[in-house]
Amino acid sequence: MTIRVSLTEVREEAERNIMGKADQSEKQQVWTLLSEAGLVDIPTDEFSERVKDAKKAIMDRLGELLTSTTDVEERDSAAYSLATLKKLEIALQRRE
Amino acid sequence: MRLTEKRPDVRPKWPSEEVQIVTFTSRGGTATGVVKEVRWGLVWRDFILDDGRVIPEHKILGEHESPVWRKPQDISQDERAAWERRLASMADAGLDPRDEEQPFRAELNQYLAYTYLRFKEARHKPPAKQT
Repeated sequence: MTIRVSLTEVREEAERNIMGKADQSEKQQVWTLLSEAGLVDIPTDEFSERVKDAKKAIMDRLGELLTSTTDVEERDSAAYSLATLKKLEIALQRRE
Repeated sequence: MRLTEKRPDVRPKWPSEEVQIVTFTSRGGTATGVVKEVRWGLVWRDFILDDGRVIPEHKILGEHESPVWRKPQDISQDERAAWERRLASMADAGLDPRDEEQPFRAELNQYLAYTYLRFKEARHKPPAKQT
């Protein structure tokens, strides 16, 4: 009985470690992705460019979603995000 | 110092409630400030200083745990919409994201990072088939 409990504890501890490592690895991947995309700390003169990149990513996804009639919620939220980015782009252009 | 929007799935041990002054990397090197609040953003946490500057957690120096992150799928539709409304209203008010360590810059940076992660992930997901 004692052995079974302790084996369970060992297994749970191992699972926690694996989950922790998976979490760390995922965090590292996110960090790398954002760093490579120049989005961790956007330089002052690159905001307009990053807004354009984001718009393009949304438009690409919207293109995919147009073939679907069931992803209405995602399509609507993507369209709303696109409108926000357009507004921000115009505001940035006014200051250039 | 106040910690806002605590989430049950993430229990950061840092910053402790006693920490008042932080050192962080700034364009000119390093700087210090008094922390008023730590606030969750769309991707990472921001430290709001008492003079209004906003410093992302990954720029804070010192011994602490690695920054905690949120996944795009953890952001609700309401939270995203509220964030977008706030950005639009800051743009309307004439704020400039090129102003260092200011709320508009901090919020726009997080929004662009979040948007990138959100749609990068979605790109690998085929749209649902028509019925």
